[in-house]
Amino acid sequence: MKRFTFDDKDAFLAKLKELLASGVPARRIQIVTPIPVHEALHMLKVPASPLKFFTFTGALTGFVAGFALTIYTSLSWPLITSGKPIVAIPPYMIIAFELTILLGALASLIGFLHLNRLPSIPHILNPDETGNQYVIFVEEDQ
Amino acid sequence: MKRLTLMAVCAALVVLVQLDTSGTHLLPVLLGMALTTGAVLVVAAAELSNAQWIAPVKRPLLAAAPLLFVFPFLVRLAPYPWLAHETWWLRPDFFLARNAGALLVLALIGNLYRRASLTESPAKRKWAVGYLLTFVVAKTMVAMDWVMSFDYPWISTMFPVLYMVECFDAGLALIGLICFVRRQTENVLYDAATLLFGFALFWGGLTFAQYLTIWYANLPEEVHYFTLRFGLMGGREFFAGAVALLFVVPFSVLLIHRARKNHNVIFVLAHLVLFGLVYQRTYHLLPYVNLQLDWLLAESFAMFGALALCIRPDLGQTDRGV
Repeated sequence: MKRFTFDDKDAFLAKLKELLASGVPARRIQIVTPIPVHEALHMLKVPASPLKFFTFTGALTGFVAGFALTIYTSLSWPLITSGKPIVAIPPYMIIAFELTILLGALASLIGFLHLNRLPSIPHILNPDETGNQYVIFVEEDQ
Repeated sequence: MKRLTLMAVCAALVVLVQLDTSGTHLLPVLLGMALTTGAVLVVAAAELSNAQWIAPVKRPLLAAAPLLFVFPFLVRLAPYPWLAHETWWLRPDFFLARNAGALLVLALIGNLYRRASLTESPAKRKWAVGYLLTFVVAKTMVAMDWVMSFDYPWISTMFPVLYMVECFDAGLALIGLICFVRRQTENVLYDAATLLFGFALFWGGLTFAQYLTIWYANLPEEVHYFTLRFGLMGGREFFAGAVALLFVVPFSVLLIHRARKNHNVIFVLAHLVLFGLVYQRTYHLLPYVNLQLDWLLAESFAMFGALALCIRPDLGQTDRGV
């Protein structure tokens, strides 16, 4: 496996572009970067992460659960306060919003761990630790 | 010649506003002020936070700054209910003096900032801070005196913040329009759209916080703010329209990543946000101002004509962006 290491993002992107232009298929290229480099992902045509579906499912669950919890508890112990209706939407919005954020965030974390197969004790230390460098690995042609 | 035309349009605007006794002037002037102060505000805030994406649209936005000098002359009384029961704060002479004074200081600092920013002077950060601070004071006065005083003794400290956020919305919508006209494909469109997304969320949160506080407290002088307007024909529709156009639509559309890079989407969205500001202001003025269509058209034509004349010469000019 060939390895190209760069301290500079622009040089890294230029080399990546050059490799792709020279006919190296994107599936044989792996990159390691210290920060997200969207241009590189775009060049390699990396498919969009399915993480957003975890977030959306969690957020939707939180939203529904927030309303379900507040409506159920109000109806099971009805208390009329200041002449307001027993089931009043405005204050329940806050609980629904908070649970949307909470479950959305938790689902994102779970999704992140699941998609990255973490925690992985055997791989906790990467022998190819690259620090702040931008690295391109190219698999040799078989 | 262009400068003479601009001065003639500004003079016509001042004359129209001073002749209009119906209070109709509040709608076009408040919207024009949101766009003008918002244009300078977005640049000042972006430069203070070292945001380099603003560079390509900085010149046309700052070109609106000279128009700030017109606003002190547009201060006038509307049919305020408090005119019949003056207080030490709400009395005509003091009202006119403090508002004209605050807007004049804002115009002076805004134009000093504009000059410093365009020449890349080291003093630009100092003037940007000055502009932001003066903006907060002037905008608080405009929101509380010009609009909120209609509902006196109802007082809300959240109300001016809402008007300030709307200035950001207006400034960002203006960037969307500029990018559409120029077919600009740099980061500026995406970054401005992302900021607009954030401010739509902020606006939604503020509006809901204000509504919830009034709903929960249930105090007669506060509830009056909603019940009075909801009881009028079109009151609910204007409120719902403002919520839809300033929160629901921008939030839902800009949630889609690709929409933030699309000129056409942002162009339509910018118009919707500006219409949302019209809805919001109409909702506030509805119970007290009998909007006259002839005055509204004449004043809007002069207000937005002056703004267009200010921005147009610099529309094609761009600084190096990132």
